[in-house]
Amino acid sequence: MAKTETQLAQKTTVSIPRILPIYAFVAGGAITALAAGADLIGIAGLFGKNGDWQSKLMLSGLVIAAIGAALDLTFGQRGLLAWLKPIVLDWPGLFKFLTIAAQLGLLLVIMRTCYLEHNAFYEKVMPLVFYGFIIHHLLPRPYRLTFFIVLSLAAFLSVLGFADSAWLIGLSLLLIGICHLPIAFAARVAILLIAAGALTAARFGYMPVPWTKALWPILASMLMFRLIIYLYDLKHNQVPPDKAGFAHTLSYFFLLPNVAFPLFPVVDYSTFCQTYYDDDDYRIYQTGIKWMFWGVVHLLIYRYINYYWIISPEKVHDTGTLVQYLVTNYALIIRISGQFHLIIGILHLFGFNLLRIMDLYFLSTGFTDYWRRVNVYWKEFIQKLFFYPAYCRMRKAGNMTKLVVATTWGFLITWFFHAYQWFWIRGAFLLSLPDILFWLGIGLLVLTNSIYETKYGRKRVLVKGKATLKEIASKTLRAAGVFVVMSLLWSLWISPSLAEWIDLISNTEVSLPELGMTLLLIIAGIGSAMLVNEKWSARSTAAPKSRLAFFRFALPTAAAILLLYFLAQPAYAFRLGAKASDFIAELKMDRLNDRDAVLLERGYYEQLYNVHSFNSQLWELYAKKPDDWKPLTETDAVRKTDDLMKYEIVPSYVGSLLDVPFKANRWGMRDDDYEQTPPPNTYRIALLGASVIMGSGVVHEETFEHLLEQRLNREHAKGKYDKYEILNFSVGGYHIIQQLMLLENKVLAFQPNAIFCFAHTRDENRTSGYLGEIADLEIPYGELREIMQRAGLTKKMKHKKTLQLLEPFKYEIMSWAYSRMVRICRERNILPIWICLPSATGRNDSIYATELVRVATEAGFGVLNMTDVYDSEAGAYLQVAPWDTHPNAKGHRLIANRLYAELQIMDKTIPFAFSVAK
Amino acid sequence: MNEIKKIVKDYILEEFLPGEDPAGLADETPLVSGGILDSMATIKMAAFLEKKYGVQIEAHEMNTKNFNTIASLASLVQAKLGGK
Repeated sequence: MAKTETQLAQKTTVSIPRILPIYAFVAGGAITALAAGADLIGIAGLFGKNGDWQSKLMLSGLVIAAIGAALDLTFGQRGLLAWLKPIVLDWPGLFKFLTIAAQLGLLLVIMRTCYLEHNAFYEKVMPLVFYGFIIHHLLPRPYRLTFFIVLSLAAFLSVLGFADSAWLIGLSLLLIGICHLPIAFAARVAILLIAAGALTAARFGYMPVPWTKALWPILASMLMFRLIIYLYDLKHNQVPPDKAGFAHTLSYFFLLPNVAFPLFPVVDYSTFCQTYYDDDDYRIYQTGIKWMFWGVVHLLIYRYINYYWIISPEKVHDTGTLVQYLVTNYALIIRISGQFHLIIGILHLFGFNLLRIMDLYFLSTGFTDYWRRVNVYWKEFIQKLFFYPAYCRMRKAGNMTKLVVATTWGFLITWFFHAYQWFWIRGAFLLSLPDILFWLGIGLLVLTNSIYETKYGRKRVLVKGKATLKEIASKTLRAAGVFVVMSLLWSLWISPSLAEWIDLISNTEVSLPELGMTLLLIIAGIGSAMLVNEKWSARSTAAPKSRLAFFRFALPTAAAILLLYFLAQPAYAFRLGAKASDFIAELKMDRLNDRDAVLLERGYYEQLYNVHSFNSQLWELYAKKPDDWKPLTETDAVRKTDDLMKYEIVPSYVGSLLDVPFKANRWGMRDDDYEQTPPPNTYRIALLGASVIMGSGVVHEETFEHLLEQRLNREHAKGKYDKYEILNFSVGGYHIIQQLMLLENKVLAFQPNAIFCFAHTRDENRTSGYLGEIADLEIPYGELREIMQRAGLTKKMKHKKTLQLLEPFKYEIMSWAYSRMVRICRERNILPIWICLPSATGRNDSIYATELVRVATEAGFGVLNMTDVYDSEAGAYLQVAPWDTHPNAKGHRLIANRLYAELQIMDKTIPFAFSVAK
Repeated sequence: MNEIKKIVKDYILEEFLPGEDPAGLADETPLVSGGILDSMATIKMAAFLEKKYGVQIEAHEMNTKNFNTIASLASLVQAKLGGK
């Protein structure tokens, strides 16, 4: 086939009129593909409002292609025949291709069904990969690289939009162009450094830029390391001329999956060029499918750990929870591994036969082995540009000195580049003691291991034989040692400070027998994985090279993909039983874990804006948040108070909050204006709650409070009561203690008939957090002071410590506050109603409300549990923004309708307002 | 050239593959991608060639293209000796 393609390429240069038909065919095909894929690449808007022109353009493209084909086959040079004949006649090749395409199609469905990673990936990039792979393979080899570039640019256009894509392409071409300026190398480096300086200033926000902030991570990821490598390879002519060229350069920088994954492997330019189709086409593609499959598996395992096992440092108190914290947090690295497998797999589909990345790193038997396995691309980058040059500069020094200096240099650079990468992708330098200690720790371990290997050698073999049990046992023990040390180091890395890490480890009651048992479990787990791997790799290397070799190679992956596909389909998963089916359904949902969900909510409730440095999923959400998207407490809509209330809404304030108008009445409520004394025969309800109840992110007329008030007046006024008034005293970020004070000091003066006290799932945790913050202030409630003293809270205590101490008392605190509220209401003949209303997180939080419901019921509230309020619209988008779980207008309508229905039901058991309604 | 290949092969067998069957190590056996020459072994190999042949191997020459097989290593040395 290669020969025929070469002949075809040569023929096309012979006679221009004779090759015109084939160009017409290609142009027609391109127009059709462009029109068909308009939705994917975000240009559907160009075809009229309802896509009127889309079908016409597709038809025109097909006609042009058909005319081109007819002319080529009759008067032309029959290029089409020369192109298609070898494809059609190569039956084994065609079958292999279809096998690969089918697996890719199933993977695409699995990714979409499981919402893997983010919608830009499974909705836009993956369909482009699928259709692009088919066209790419059918194209003659000389056109494939150009097509890959076009496809990559289409993916950028699709995800980033036209303006950002144009900036991205322009800036990239400018910087690449500087590398090729016909001036001295040092001058080119100097110009690049000046350009990088300007971009740094822009990244810091010192200079305005015309592109959106979504562009930075992608731009940075494309250029921050690749430019360095590219320049080095240019200087040293690392790529033979026949393997390099303009198309190679463009494809190297504009790598298709990059648009969906800012955290990208540091691909080496010379390796990228030299491994391009360096093996059988189908074997390269199938290897890509295999890595993509493993990428999907890794990401699903990540979800499993993230949803069910991860715990926050506050929950660590004994051996079990400490080990759980260390192991699960370290295991989250599997997400990066999954993404990298997907990236490398996708590149294989376009002929780039790159090395596997993050290869069984949990089974590393030493620290040098770990360093090699965990990110071979990074290791080679550091080795090539820093380790070898440093080593070679010290020719006269002793071997050991050279090794120590070059390795130390390599890790110093690694630490710096990590902070550098962090800056470009996230916009802030990562300079923390845990980070420095982490890299220092790994550096020392790798160095020690290297010295040992240099002195005593490392066992290398020509042909891998069957490992004995003794060898496997030895490997297992070493791997378990590396795993334990890395888990510990990792926990240090993700700690906000060294003191907090020491606190975490030292405040845990460790039991030696439990620790021993846990270590045995780790050894058993790693040992089993080691045995399976030994057996499997022995099998893989033993595969014969026959005509069926490809299918033997493809079969395990294809079978596993098919199995995964069926498991992902509810109709088949259902057959495994309700429990398994529910588990699969849960795993398919892309959501934050409970810890992150709390952090996301706390971003608004407790002004906790420092999303954990290494919490990538939450960071990704926050990265999309506009800079002016600020919680109530960071706006001038509130003013500070000197008491435990901390702040209150400014009366008669007019402004905006979360992109919508925000207006307060003369009493400092986000509501219409009301007289303090109720009009005659008016039923007045006072709402107490936080931001969801206040209506953050929706206009006042869309809030459930307003909708319910309107409906009550529309359907029940002039019945038992002339009028219904709902006064919204809710303030974003208020906890139960503040709500209690608000009730006592403000609400009662408005003479309400009923109090609706809204709670949120996990309010008990938030209240503990609030009490930890105010521990230094004078608490006006004796009983509350007494509980805090019993918990052991003292002034100037660290916040995390107060959380740990208050943990056993959290429901007692809620119970005290609720009981006091109910007592106050009863004394004044006010009906106390407690309503549990969650944010619109997209999942049912009812299990977290069970205990709180009990406490509220025992306190004497009339209880409404509305944790399932959004369930009727499962799958619908109900939050105000991806990074903000406050319910949107639709969510508020659901709440209003549900609350109205609940009040009607409740009216039969608790004397309420409708009893003599019309 | 053959002499260089033999010396390189003997060195690899002695230093990195003690006890392995010499027949299993051919001129085209992948050394870097085959896991025989890692970074430590690469610098050892470079140091050996520099000392043995009095040539200087630059950092950018310590790559897979030059170090992946006995044949490519011999070609590198040969080119360096030829250029002397």
